[in-house]
Amino acid sequence: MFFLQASGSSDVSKLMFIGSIGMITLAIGIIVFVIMHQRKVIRYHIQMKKMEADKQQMYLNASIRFQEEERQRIAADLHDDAGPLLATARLYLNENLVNQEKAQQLQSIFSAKQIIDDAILLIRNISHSLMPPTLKNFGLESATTDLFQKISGSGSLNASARFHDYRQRLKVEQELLIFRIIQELINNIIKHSNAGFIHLTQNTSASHMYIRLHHDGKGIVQAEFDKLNQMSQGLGLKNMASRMKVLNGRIFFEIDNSQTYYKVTLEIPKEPLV
Amino acid sequence: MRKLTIIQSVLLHITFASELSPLMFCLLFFKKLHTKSLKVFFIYTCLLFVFALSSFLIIKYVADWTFYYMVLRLYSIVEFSVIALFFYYVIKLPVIKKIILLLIAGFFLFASLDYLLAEKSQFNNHSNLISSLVLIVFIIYYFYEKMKIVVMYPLYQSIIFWICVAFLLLFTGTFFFFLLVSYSKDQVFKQQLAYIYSFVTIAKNILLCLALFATEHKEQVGDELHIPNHMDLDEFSLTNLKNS
Repeated sequence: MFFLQASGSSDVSKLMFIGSIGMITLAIGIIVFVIMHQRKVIRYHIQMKKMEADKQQMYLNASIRFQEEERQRIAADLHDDAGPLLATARLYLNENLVNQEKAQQLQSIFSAKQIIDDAILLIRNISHSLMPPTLKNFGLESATTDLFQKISGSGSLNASARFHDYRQRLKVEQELLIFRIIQELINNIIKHSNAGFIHLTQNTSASHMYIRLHHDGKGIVQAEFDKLNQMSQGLGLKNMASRMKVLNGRIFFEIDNSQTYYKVTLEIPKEPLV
Repeated sequence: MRKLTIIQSVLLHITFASELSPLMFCLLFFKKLHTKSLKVFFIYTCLLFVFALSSFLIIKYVADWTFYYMVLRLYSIVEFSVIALFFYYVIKLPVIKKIILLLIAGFFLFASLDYLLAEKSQFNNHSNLISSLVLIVFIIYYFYEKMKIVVMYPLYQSIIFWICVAFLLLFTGTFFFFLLVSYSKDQVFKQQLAYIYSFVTIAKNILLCLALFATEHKEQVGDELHIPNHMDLDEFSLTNLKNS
């Protein structure tokens, strides 16, 4: 205010007063509006949290339903495949076998052996689908690479995986959850996207592990994922979301800046499961 | 120099003291100033302190108005740059950040040219007017940006919000002051201007001090992932794939 003393009407005074008071009133109006709007947003946020809790319940139901479906599938596999195989083997090895000719006996034993081998293979496949042995014994990196090699080997899809930093393994339960999410993502890509390639990249920071899947098919972005997640269908997506929740991690769907590839990023904290 | 009335003198000293208080409060609550924007705010309070002190000394002992106007111009450039830098850290949108940097450079050029071309012994209000307008726009944009983001805690619980409120009050309150300061030579009018300027400045400084009492909450993590900058998860290329 010092310079006012050096340099040196009622209309101008009025203009100044009205102008200054008007500007200050406008400023206060803006501040009040911002605060009121914020309060409204926070109220809405609390409501959203309640909805989130309901969604969690839905995830839980989906998870239970998924478990039931998985049990039914295993039961069906055992009943429809393993059951008849073993029953057939039993037929070959009936009490009449001792009365048969030697050549016929050998033929029956050979057939029964083959059927039992098939049954062993079937049970092994069921067991592997429950807990992949590569994952249990060698970790996520080997299991994922193995999975990608199998997909690539089928010839229908070009698949590759690259782990940059996975020297420190996560807990087996965490690895299984991540592997299931990757499996589900790949399943969806194969089923719905008509992609020509899938590429997986893994890296680690001090606090998180990141996994990113690229594919050139028809993908989804986060908004679509959220929308599908709200719907009653899309059990696979709900399972992914619930598994990520258990991992305390986040999943993010986006399209590349070049609009050529779709990306799915998993962010998993290096901390205990929730 | 014209003799001041007692009210003017008291007001002048209160205004001067209020300009020093934000730095005192910043030092008192120094631990709270952990973000880049709040560090820039700390620089602003230092600047305010130095300018208020030097102004007081120049007026009291040197009484050279040309020199004082030069210091004032220098202050207005640095003040604009520091406050714009504060908004550079506070505003999230990269495009606006770039615009802020360009405006700092632009304003520096304009204020320097304006000073060189204008009458040195008179107070020139152009750069102050422009800086007030630009900073009001920044503040309104900051509020707009904050309104778009869903947060857990009310905005009025943050230090930065109250700093912005203080700046908004200052720039809106002094806008007509800068607009009309060179309009009339009438002493009564000048006194009225001085009262408005003093009241707004004191209110701004009180708000800046009170802002530091706010309890800063950690910013809510948004929907987007925070992948470290050095980490390349997009190393994918078709050649990579063919080689694998």
